[in-house]
Amino acid sequence: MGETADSEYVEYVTARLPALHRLAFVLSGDSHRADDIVQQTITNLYVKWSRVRTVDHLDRYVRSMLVNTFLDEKRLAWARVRLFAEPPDAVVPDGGGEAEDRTLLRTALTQVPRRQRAVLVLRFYYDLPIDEVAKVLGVSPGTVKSQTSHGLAALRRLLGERPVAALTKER
Amino acid sequence: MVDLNEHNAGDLLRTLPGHSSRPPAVDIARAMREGRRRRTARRATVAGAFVVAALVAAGLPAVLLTSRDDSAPPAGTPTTTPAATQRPSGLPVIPNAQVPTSCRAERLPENGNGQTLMTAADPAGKIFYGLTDPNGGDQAVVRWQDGKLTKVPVPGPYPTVSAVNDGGLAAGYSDDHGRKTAFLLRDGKIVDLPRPQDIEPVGINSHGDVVGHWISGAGARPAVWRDPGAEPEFLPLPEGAVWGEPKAIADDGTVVGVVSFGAQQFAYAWAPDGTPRRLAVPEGTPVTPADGQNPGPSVVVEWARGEWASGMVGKYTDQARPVRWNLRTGNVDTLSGIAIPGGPINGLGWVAGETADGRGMLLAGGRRIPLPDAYGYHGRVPANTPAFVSDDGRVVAGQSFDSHGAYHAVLWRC
Repeated sequence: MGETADSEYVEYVTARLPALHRLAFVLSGDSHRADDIVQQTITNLYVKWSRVRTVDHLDRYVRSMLVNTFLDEKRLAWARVRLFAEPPDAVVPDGGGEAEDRTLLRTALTQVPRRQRAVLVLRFYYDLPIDEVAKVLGVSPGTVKSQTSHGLAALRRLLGERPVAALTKER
Repeated sequence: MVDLNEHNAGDLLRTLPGHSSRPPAVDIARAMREGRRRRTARRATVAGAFVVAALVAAGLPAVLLTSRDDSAPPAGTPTTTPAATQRPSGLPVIPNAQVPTSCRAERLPENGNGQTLMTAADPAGKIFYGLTDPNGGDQAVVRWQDGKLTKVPVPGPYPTVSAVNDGGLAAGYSDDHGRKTAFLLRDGKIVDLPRPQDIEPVGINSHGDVVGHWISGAGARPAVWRDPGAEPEFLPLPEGAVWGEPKAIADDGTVVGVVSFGAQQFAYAWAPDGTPRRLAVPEGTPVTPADGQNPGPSVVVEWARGEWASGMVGKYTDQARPVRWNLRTGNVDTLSGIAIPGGPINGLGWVAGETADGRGMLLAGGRRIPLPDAYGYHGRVPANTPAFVSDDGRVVAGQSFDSHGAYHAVLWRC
């Protein structure tokens, strides 16, 4: 790869790093895993940079790569090598019930099956329309709808009867 | 409280933090180095997932990509299948062995394609399965035996062999964007398992019973094929549990794993008849969440063999510590000499792990035997991560990290 392409790559990745890490962190609920998902994604991106750097919607393309990396992540690889090898992210109590709600929500979300979790995050955290989520995940809009419904059912069950502040106001 | 639905899910999910308390650690230079190595190591083939992404980016219809809906959950009560062969009653006793005095590291052959990961080892420490380029475009299953590397052809995308018994019978799965499909590998040939969808095998015993983790939209539970010709049995979860994840199966059919009750987890053993029982924690270990502290404290069992199991207690607290359980007596003891998350255990109760500063260590018969660095010492953790200990304690298998932070499958011979 030429020097120009390399410097374009570095510039693009440097600018997009915070956004990519945020997506990986919300999906995985763990900053070490987020590091690895982003690392893997930008490695794959480098491999094919000469071909993809000029595609339309490059951001969408890279987001799609990242989500697929997350979906393909090997539980064994993480469990045996990384996840359990490091202490978990510190949970900083700030004395408020809201912090606890957030931590509970994050824990519950990490237990929603991965495909459904990706759908919930893209639809409700990023507020992407169904068609856009379908494109990012490479599935039909119908599948996005059914995964949304399964995912919300799983999340309801995981959160149980616990009152969550964000849901206590009627809309 | 208002029920969670499509209209208010955004209000809830947007309360999630978008970053953690520590800064991201992503290395662009490493991505370019690794990317260059990968580009030269292969032809212009592109991994399937990214062909998909490219088609989507190009606006082409993704006809092939429609996924199945989640399959229906299994019946709520476990179905019993007649055992294929007579099982011994009670947990097996492993013959005693002499405590080793020292260990040496042995690098395993690699095919020059990035990282390698150890994913399965038989209890005798002779047959090893692993992955080359895990999570990458060239992920492949390999077997190491008699010091030689063999690529193992396995169907499906992103395959992994996750367990192998003393007879060489191996279990694994392929992974199509998170949809797992289980298989058996006998004498190098694939044997289909009945109802393999959504199950990731995690353990196999000497009779060929396979335990796997079943996950679908309806929940997650251990599934056991007690007879490779019959449908799996889904083990029941204790009252109030939302999630169950097996880790291993003993020769008498006892399954060991983790059960989640929302923000807390506990270690469980399921008797051969499917009855779950909670494993004890050492006295003084926190089990109730402190104010404002969530998740945890959690108890995690990760490894088991014979009458022994190992893992950690107090996870998510500053009192987290590695432990081992004796499944026969119900006793639990804290391990000193290795750090959390603990490490793999053999049939004699010997545990291999990593110290807080990244040194490999075998704890055997009251002795601490160092596992030397196979790829140098770089002052980072993890550095040496044991994954299996043979029953005679002569072989420890796992990974070591090199100066670039890449991991490599290794053996320690003791």
